[in-house]
Amino acid sequence: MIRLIITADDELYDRLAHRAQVEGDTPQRADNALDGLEQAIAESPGLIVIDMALRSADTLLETLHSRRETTSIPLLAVTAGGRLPFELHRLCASVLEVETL
Amino acid sequence: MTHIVRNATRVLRGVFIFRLFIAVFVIGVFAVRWSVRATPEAFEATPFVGLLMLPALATMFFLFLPGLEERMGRFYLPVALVMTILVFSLESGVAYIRPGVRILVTLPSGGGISLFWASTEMILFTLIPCVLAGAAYGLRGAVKAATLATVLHLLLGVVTWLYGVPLVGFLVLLPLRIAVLYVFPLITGYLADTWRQEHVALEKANRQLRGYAATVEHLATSRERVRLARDMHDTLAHSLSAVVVQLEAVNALQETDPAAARAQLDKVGWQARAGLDEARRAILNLRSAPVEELGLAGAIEQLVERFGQRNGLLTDWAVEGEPVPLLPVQANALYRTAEEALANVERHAEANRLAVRLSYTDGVTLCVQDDGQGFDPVTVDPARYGLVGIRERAALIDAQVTVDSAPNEGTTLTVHIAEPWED
Repeated sequence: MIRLIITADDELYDRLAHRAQVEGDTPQRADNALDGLEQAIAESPGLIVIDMALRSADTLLETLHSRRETTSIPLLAVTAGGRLPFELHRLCASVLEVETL
Repeated sequence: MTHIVRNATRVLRGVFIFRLFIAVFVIGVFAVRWSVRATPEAFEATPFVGLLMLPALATMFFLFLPGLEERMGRFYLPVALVMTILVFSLESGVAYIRPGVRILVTLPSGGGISLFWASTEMILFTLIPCVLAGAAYGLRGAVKAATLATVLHLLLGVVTWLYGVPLVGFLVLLPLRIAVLYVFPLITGYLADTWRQEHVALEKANRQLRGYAATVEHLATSRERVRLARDMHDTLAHSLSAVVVQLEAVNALQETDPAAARAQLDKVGWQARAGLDEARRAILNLRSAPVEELGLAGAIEQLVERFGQRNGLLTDWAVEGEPVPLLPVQANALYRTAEEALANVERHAEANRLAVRLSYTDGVTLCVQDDGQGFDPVTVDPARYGLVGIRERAALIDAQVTVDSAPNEGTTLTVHIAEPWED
């Protein structure tokens, strides 16, 4: 089964591809949302893994879910949690403080 | 399925209780109050009655022994059905072999009531477990039960013949009885199979619906997380970075140039307040789903109105044509494109006027126009103005993006969906 991994992050792709191979799937990569959509339509993969840090990931998710060719393909959204920039972590902490304003 | 089997077992017990009640009622009431007269044939039939009582008692224990149903599980009902069919078939058989056994209690009126009710009409009782087999196990169960009852019935005919009883009466009614034994269970089995298939289809549809609901929920959650991250990056990150840089400048100036440090502190205060405003706006955005609540036009109108209030720009908002229904994915993408376009105007354009138009003529078109400083699309890196994201988002929903801009002549961004997707 083809497992389409849509991410611009090389390291994240390597980790996800390794995981796919261990589980007996064939990893295939798209490094942007448009390529991801095209490959999803052309290849009909068994699973699509989307890096949520990808630009337009939200619209890509909705599009894959809406289009007839891809609506039945399971989608898995992932984030490279521990590898998010420090600044973003700090900002997330700030959000909690802002909520109390 | 489990409910049907459980209820079939209850019905079977009910029928057996009904049968026992009749026997006990006859013995307990009629035998005491009226004279009892057994025919010689009845005494001759005693071995047969004994033969009948043994499986009847066994069936009674099987049906009412506590805990047996739980221990036997799915095998309980088939065994119960077989035993019940056997008992009722034997009872009707006694009537064939010794018809006189039917008259055990004689009423004052001269009429008689059967103690064991061992009549050929017991075939009607045999019908009940056959019908229950059809209800619980469908057509296959009905066929098996009816066949068992028929075979037993034919065996009784053979035994009757061996006892020298003329078979005329038996053979005349045999086709009718066999027809009855098959027809009703088959009808019940067919209906049960149909119901079961519909039930399975309904279960499948329910599972799919639960799956869709989970996916939609997952999508909504993912979208909100992405929006949160983007808003944080576009608003708080910029403000806080500026505050940090300015505070470092204050630190450097406070000893050498206190007046400049105070001026810088004023800037820090202004920047912090601006950041606070942005944070509040981001929270406001997070707490709402504008396209779902207001529709695409209403959501963009609200966006433009808030943008004008926040930035002090003259804004012009217009909707042209009769609105056409858009799939949520296209409506949401257009709304987010409008958000990104307005953010670009706020950050880069230094504009005084903003015009936003949503047109439903010849497809759907979103147009964002400002009178700001503009840029040269040929020489300026599109990524710098967030245009790559806008183009990518547009391409995902089959929309075309055009950017018309020149230095000091403002910018016009147009997103056009020629053929809205159908649901």
